[in-house]
Amino acid sequence: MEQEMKNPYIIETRNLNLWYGESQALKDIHMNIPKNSITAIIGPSGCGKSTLIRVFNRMNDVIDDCKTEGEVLFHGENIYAKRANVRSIRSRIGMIFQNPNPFPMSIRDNITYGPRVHQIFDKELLDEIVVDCLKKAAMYEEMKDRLEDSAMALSGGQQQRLCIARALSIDPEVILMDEPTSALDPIATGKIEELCKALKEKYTVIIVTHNMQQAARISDYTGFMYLGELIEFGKTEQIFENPQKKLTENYITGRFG
Amino acid sequence: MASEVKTKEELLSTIKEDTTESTITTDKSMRGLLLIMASLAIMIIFVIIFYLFSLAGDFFNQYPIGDFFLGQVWAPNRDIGNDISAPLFGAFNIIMGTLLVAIGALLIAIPLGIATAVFIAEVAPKKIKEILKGTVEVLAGIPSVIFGYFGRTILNDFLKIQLALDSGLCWLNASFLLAIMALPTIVSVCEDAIDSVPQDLKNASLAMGATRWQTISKVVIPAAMSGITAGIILGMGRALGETITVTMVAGNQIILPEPITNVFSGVQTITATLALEIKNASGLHRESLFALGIVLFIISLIINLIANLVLSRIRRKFTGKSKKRIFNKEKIKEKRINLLKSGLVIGLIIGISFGIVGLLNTARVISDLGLEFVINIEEIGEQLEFSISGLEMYKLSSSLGGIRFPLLVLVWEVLRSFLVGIAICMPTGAAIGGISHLLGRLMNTIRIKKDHINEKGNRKKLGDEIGIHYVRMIIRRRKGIVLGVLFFAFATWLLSDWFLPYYPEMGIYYALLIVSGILLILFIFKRLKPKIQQIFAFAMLLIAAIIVLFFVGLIVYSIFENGLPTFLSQGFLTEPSRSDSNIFQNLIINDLDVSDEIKEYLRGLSPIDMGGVAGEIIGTLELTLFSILFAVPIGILAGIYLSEYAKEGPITRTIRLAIASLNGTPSIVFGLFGYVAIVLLMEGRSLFAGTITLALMILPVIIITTEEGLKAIPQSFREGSLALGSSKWHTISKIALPAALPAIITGIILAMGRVAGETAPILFTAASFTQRFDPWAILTLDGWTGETQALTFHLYKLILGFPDADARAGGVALTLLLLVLSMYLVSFLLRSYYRKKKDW
Ligand SMILES: Nc1ncnc2c1ncn2[C@@H]1O[C@H](COP(=O)(O)OP(=O)(O)O)[C@@H](O)[C@H]1O
Ligand SMILES: [Mg+2]
Repeated sequence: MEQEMKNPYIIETRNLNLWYGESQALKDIHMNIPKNSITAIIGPSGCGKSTLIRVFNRMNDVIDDCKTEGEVLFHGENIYAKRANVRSIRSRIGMIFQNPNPFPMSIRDNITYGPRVHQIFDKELLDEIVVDCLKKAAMYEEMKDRLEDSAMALSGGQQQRLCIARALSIDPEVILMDEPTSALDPIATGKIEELCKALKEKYTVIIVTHNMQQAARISDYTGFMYLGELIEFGKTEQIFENPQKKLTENYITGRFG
Repeated sequence: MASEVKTKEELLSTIKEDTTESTITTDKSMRGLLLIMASLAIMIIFVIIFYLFSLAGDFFNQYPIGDFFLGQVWAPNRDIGNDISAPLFGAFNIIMGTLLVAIGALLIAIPLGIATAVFIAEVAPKKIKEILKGTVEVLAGIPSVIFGYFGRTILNDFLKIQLALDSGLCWLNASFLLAIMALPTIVSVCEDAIDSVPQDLKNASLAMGATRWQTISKVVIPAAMSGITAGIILGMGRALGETITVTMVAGNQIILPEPITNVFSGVQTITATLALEIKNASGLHRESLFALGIVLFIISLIINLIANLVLSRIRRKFTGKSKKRIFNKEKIKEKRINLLKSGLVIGLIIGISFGIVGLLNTARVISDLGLEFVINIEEIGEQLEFSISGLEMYKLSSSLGGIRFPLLVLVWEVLRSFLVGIAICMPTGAAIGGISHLLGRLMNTIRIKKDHINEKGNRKKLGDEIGIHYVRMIIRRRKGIVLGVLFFAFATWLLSDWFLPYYPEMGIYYALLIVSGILLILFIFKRLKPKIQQIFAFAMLLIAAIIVLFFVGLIVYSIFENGLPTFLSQGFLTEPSRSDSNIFQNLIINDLDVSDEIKEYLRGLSPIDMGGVAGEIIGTLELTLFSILFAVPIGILAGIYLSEYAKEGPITRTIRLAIASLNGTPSIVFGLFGYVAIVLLMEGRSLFAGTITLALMILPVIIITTEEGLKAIPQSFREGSLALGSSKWHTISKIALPAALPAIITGIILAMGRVAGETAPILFTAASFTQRFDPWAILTLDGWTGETQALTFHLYKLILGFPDADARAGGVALTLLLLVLSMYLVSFLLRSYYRKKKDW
């Protein structure tokens, strides 16, 4: 407990390297992510943003020939240690994907899925969770009368917010978002951004985006990646106003080729 | 340099000329030709439907329909011999037998099939996945007569010895084999459905800390449910329509199992009845068999329609909301006109089909007249060949001058049904089109109202969904009660004698026990740790996969073991079968009116060796080759039309549905059709009749293969060509078709494998057991109008008629298996070769 108080970082990476088969996608990443903040990861497409964020909840395990080296510390403990419990890591570090991916079930079943997977079967508790998560995702008023409708009938923006509500259902500490708004229109995007800011109170948010304005608008910290390397990491104002590296400056000012 | 520019300009000018009139005409005429071919396919199914219906109609005019469906006595030959009471055609037991065998098969195949599919799609490592997929493909390629052989030898012995039965030929044997045979259908459809569940969904589940098994059971399987359902329904169709295996192993007793749970009772199915009786049936008996055929056909049609409906749902599932319809007056008008057109075209097709049916019916009447005439002459005392055809009869009668044969009647009959068909069907079609359109509009307005209610939140659900909701609620609330009953059942079971002998009357009680046992296990299972659940679940899946592997291995191995010595013996593949005295002796022995022991003894006097099977191999190859040659042009052209030209609409949908239904129709129904439409008219089985029957059977496969092959070619290829100004047909023939050719060829070779392994369609259209061996017979007319041998039929006859011909049967089975599997192998190799070569 004491140690945790001292350590302001919720996730830290040490010498993180990652390969897909022969090709290296992440090179020697050192990165410390502060608690209760929004961290944005930016960079040109293919630079490894998604790969990095998927490292944090071990979603790369799903990919066959993916090899990870180095340490990723969550509350100071290596999640890539041999005895690490992947399921519990994933229930503590939630994830939102680029394309909204609600299950083809009712809205209620979408939200209760996580708790049921972790063997909560009590009906009243589940109902409570549904209401609570929908409220946190700022969509309770919209949804309260149509909980039994199929989630597939919602609009893209609603689906994405439902996915956020679903991720909140198992009360994670960190929420990873991989370009959560790239498939959405500006209004839906605005709603998600508002939501992110509100979530910061209780959760740590790490968001990948290729939209620099978005990063500047909502994040507290920003990391810039290029060709699998973390070029620069720091406070958002500093990265955008006073970048230390030439590469970062070029990217931010749009002089990039 | 300058000259080069000139040639370019010249070229360009020719291109521009090309895109004018001439190409447009070719384009239009190609379109017309393709449409005709596609219509031909749908016409064939209509003709088959109407014709069989009209034949069955004849029967029900003479025999009460209630007695047919509910009567328990099937005694078609009662008027022959001393018994003078009228024949009875009570088909109840036969229809029940069909259903029981199919249900039994499904009970085995569903868990095994789904588990194997899940294992292949989600659990197995890459290499094992490939092996399993290959195994399932091999299974799909094994001819049904070989399953029959396996069931009659190994399985029969096993059941007899292990369970001390009098005979292992029974319901269980048939259901078990049908389950194995239905597996490839179930596994491949289910696997496709599971594969098509987006990775996104699985990721979403895994990212929340779900185990792989939780993801599979709670997300993947529910999402793939409609596909899985379709797979099961199609598998059921396969089980219902199988003929040869069932005829060989089900015991063929027209009884209801006593009690109904007695799986060791012999049963007889519709298909087996057809296979066993049609050759010697005539008059009312024959018509009763057509009625049975129609029952089978209708069942399989319904099954196919349901499966297709369910499958078309999948496509909509992940796209979410159905498109909102726009109410635009012009669009509505256009739609109505389209529907009108569709109605007219479908009406025309149905009309023509009616015409053809009329022709067939009239022809049959004439040929029957011919027979009557011959009989009359016989009564007078003259001797005449019995096998005189209707046409010859007509010639004969007119030359005699005595009987004026009604040629006009024939023409009138065809014309009349044709006109009636068109006159009734075209307006009806148009009317149905119009009405369905109006209904659609009405439904839309209702739906909008319903949505409105939903948004306001006044009402939750409409229609049957309320029902489902309540059922769910009741189940949830009553869980305690269910579990109580369950424990009670187990308690009584434990208190009663463990070694209680199997009382047939207790069947239901045992079933209850098994069900409650399963429920209890599930109840406990649900409360285990997710990780442990996963271990158990994966172990079960693995076991299912191993069972499948084991049985395929066992079947193939046993065929090799029994057949290899004969297969390798000198001259087996190169010499014709010997028509030596043994065969005739045996044929005679079979027909003798003596006890089985004496027959056995007589057979023992002459051990069987009937020479080689060169004639059978050639017969099989000829049947395969010619039917494919016949089906390929029509099939490919119709497939091109469907893929490239057909606009999505009622006509196209009907055509596609008809083709899919034809594809799922039991092969014995084709055999029946070939028998009435060709064999009875030509007064004899022939290579020609067999070829046409097999071609009709395989046509839908070729159409579907072509269409899917073309659909897989990216649209951008075509757009690239069209954007350069080339015509549509040019684009298809030069760009799309060549790219799709590998897939099409692969499909055709697979179809050849299937044709070569078929027995039912040639059973009463083409096949004979012994015939002269003459590879060049097909060059003469006699070769085409004469019967032919085939490996499948030879094996079928050997097993049913010559219990001592074990060694020979093994050799024939192995030859057949190798022939069919080599076609599958070629298709497999081609496919993997092209897949590697493919660079897009
Ligand atoms: N499953 C995979 N297998 C192999 N290579 C991959 C896979 N996923 C991503 N890559 C490669 O890794 C690099 C980084 O990809 P990614 O993390 O998706 O980039 P970003 O999200 O920044 O666009 C890319 O070069 C990409 O081609
Ligand atoms: Mg990405």
